[in-house]
Amino acid sequence: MAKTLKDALTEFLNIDGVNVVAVIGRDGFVIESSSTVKLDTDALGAVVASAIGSSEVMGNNFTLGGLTQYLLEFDNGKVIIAAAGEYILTLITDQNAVIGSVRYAVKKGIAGLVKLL
Amino acid sequence: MVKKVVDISHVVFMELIRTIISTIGVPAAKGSLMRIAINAGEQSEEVEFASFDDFVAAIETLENPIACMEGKAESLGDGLFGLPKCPFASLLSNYTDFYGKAPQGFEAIADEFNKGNPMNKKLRIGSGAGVGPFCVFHQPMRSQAGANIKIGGKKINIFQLGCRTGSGKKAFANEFIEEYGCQYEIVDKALDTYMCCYGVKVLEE
Repeated sequence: MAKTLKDALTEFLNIDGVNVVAVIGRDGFVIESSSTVKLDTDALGAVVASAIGSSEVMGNNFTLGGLTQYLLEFDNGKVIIAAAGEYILTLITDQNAVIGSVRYAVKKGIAGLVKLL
Repeated sequence: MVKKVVDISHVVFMELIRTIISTIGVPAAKGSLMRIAINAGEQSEEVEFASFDDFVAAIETLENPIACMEGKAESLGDGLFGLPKCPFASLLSNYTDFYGKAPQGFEAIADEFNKGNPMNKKLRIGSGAGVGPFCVFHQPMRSQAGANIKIGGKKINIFQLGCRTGSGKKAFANEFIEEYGCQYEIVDKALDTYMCCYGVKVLEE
């Protein structure tokens, strides 16, 4: 059976520490998400789109090229945001997640994800 | 030289939109305006009309939530409505009067709004029928307000079919014209007279 976008996203939850994964349009509307915790997807989409948008404005202003990945570290967890073609892949982890593993999985999984979009 | 009297709140509002666009980019700005509009539409009054005629009559008496929000539209038959005046028309003229030029970057947000995407399909907005940044706000707000309205106990869908600028440029949502089941020529003719043309369809449950 063909893999759905939801299936592909849920696989990211198998990575230690990853609690939330979502694909979001550049306008902030959530396309699909999967999580092990309670989540306000509307709020997630809105803030992620604003974060990516303002970062890309910065990249354009400083002629740094396109945004590929964005890492935010907080006291209680981390957020990884990656460009996925016209969409945005977002993962939220707890503070114990090994960021290198998460970033590697994102880099490895993005191409397959884009094909499903 | 004496400048024209303007409504400063309009000037500020336009500058806020321009700032949002320049700081977070066009797609995110479009989404932000849409979310504001959808949330506002959700707050509109829940109303039930016994019949479509009652829905239309309530526009004239401003007991129809859509009319309360955008002004009185005129019934064109077959569920079609034409709005004589864009509720946002004075914002652009106030800005231009104050600064002496049109705001920069607003065409881009209308173009973004017209791209196909799941939210546009769900609300039956944009997708070609946006002519300016205020369509990004007006159309979702109207569609979402429609979700709070019932006619004869049944839900309705509002289809954005076409829109026109003050300078006469027309824009059409061909997929929604087709889905609604009316002819392009009827919408085109309506836009000769009206700024906005939309259809209201009662859902068969």
